Amino acid sequence: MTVIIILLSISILISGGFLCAFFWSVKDGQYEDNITPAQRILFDSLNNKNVKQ
Amino acid sequence: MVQQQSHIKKVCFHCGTTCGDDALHYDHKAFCCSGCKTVYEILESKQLCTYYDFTNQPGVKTNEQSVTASYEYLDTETVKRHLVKYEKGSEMHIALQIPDMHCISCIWLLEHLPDLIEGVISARVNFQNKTIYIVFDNDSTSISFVVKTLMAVGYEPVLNFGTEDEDLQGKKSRNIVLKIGVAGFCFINIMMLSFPEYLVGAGVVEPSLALYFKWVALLLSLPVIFYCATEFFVAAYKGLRVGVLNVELPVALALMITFIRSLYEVFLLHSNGYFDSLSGIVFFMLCGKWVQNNTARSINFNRDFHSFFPMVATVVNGSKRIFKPIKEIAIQDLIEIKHGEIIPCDSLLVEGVALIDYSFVTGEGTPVPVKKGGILYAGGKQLQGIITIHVEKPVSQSYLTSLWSDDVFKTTKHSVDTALNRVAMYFTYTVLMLAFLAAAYWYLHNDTIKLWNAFTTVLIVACPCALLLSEHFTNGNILGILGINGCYLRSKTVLNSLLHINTIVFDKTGTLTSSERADVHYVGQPILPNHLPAIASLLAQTGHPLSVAIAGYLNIKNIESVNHFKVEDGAGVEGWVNEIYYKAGNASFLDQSPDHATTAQVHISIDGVYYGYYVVKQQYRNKLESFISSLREMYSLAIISGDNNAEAPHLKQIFGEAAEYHFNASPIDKLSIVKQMQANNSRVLYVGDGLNDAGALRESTVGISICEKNSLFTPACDAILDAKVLTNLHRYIDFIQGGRKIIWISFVISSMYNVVGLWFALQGILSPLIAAVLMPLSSLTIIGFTYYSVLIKAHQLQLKTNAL
Repeated sequence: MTVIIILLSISILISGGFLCAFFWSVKDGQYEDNITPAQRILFDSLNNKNVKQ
Repeated sequence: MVQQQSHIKKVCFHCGTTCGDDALHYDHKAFCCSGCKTVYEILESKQLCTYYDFTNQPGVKTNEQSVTASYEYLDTETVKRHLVKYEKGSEMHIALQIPDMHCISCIWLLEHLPDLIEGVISARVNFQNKTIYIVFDNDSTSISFVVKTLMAVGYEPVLNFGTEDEDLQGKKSRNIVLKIGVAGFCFINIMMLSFPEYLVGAGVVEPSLALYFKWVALLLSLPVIFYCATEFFVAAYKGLRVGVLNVELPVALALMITFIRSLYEVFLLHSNGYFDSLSGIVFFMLCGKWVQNNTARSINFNRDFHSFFPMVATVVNGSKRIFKPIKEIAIQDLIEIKHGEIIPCDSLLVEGVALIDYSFVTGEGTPVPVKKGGILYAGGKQLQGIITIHVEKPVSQSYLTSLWSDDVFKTTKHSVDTALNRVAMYFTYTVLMLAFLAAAYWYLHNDTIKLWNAFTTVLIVACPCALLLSEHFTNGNILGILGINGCYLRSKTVLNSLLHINTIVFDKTGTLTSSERADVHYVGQPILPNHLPAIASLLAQTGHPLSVAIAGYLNIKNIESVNHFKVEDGAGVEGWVNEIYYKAGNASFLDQSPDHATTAQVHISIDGVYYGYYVVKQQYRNKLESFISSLREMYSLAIISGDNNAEAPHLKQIFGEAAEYHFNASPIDKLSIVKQMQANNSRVLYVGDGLNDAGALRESTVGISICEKNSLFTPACDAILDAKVLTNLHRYIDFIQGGRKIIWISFVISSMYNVVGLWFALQGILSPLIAAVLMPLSSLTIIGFTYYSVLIKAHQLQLKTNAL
């Protein structure tokens, strides 16, 4: 049954990695603004269309 | 058909304002004013017309005054220091608040600032906070130029020095998000480790595994207690220090006891402890807190009068002129005040002719002429020419400030100690007592296992977390929905205070009447159209509401210069325009016999010949009558107005005989009337609009400030209400009342969980594990219940919500 101990340790380590990623994303300011990035995606495509025309 | 076509409304291509026949045309497009046309021309020249592709008429009307104003002071070192966030060589980073951004086009244009201004390296918008971060090269451009360009395209930044606080708030909300993340992580992992025991019960799992589970759970719970839960302990400690048993105390106590009990179990009894329930409680509590903080942050409006005062003043030093931030102005400084600028502090007039509009301070619209050596008070606006003044008192001691910092302002309003808080407190006492009684009972029966079981499970299962959650979530949700509907409350304590209101006091001008709509008509000999610009120019020299109304009615865009302009206090104005002598004012000012007018009239004479008069009838807001009649049954009403009583008969029709009427009231009168009402055990809701209501707004139990689209200034108050939705106020109060009911119902629900849990807990037969499952379950029920019932209530009252 010791395999469970190893597996669980690994799973906690991996999820700890995700926690670190979460820390990074918060510190990076990704949760500061939930609106603008979603809108910004649209700009490039419209710009390109204009260029093509 | 032909007729129909001619009725098609012309709409400004830039801002969407309906424009009449005087629309300007450019590039086959109609524009309502030269400002909008200019923006289009600027954008066209830089090939930025994609701006108009995202949304129809995305523009904002430019403010002509701000566009032409000078912003050179922004480039002086003292001011720069406040604005620049980061500096490296000539590269500078600044953050500007732009409240006018409202759509995807705005984001697009603002982020294309580098194309618009040479020297701007990058621009990034945070739409949520309405902020733009600009990086620019200080050698090729300057702050003042960036600001000026933003103004020119209609995005006026808010310039004040108050941004440091916002940084701090951002950090705080970041912290809570991190804490939620950590708590969630630990909660889920501890749950996973405890899962075998949920299924088969303690003692069946293989001992080596059980040992491992236990220690990992213990390790994972450490960050929950020592990092995530700190704010509950801090809040409870702060409450205890001032002798208040606040709502955080039972939470802190339950957390502490659960943790200590768990440690005791792990180390001495070699069983598992309750780390799962511990981290679950913390996680859910933090979530509730976050929702509330988030709504509070989005409606933060702690503006004080400083944000309405100018940022800098021109200090005269010999022949030099330096810009100094207002806060650094000292006694004895000589300051130059230009046309249209506001006097920042009490001072003496040294040079020039002063004509001061004190309407911000006194509510009286007629400008006051001041002679050399006369005293000028802070808050007045210079209306003609340049003056030099000698500072007598620094900003913080001036008259205006003293009005603001009257005793009322120093004591923060005692928040109404709500029934709910009291109940929560009794709840805490009861729970503690029950826990100790149960412990004592089982101690007498010499059953130590049941003693511990009973004591902790009672605390866990009956902990009023769900109850607290219900308050946090419901209030947070209500604040959010009110915000969507144009009513912004300062904090959730205002919700409680609003429910205790029994008297509503309205300011008249600007609150009940709309400053945008006034009914003007002319009676008398017809005036030739070529005189109209001159009359408008003459009237535009004063800020009196009547002049403003008539000038607006005449709708003249090119103001001509007025010579030998004179104002007689409260009577009228005279002056020469294009060599013609004009006079406008009340009947006696023009030597007419005063007829017994019940309306406000402005008489006109040209070159000494009397023509006739304009009648100005102030327009009340839409649906005012039905709004007032729905309030009349519930509250006693009163009206306080700085104006004369010309409108009294009309107001009596709407408000009825029972209401109180006060006319010709100064700001001090308003304050003292409200004070007197409060002394007579009335709990007053004051609805006002300007700085002249500031004292009354703060003194009243709840002060609501009406915010018209054009006026940027709102005095400190408990709530800001968009002028358009004033007549919905009663529905908002209904909504808040509904919210209170929802909290009570959820209190009953969570009590039911508690009673059932307690029933078993007191007998010592409830396993802490089940208690731990019950806890989050009750929290979840409460969250779901409050969220949906608030939405349903909002829907019933036809309020807008964000939910689908």
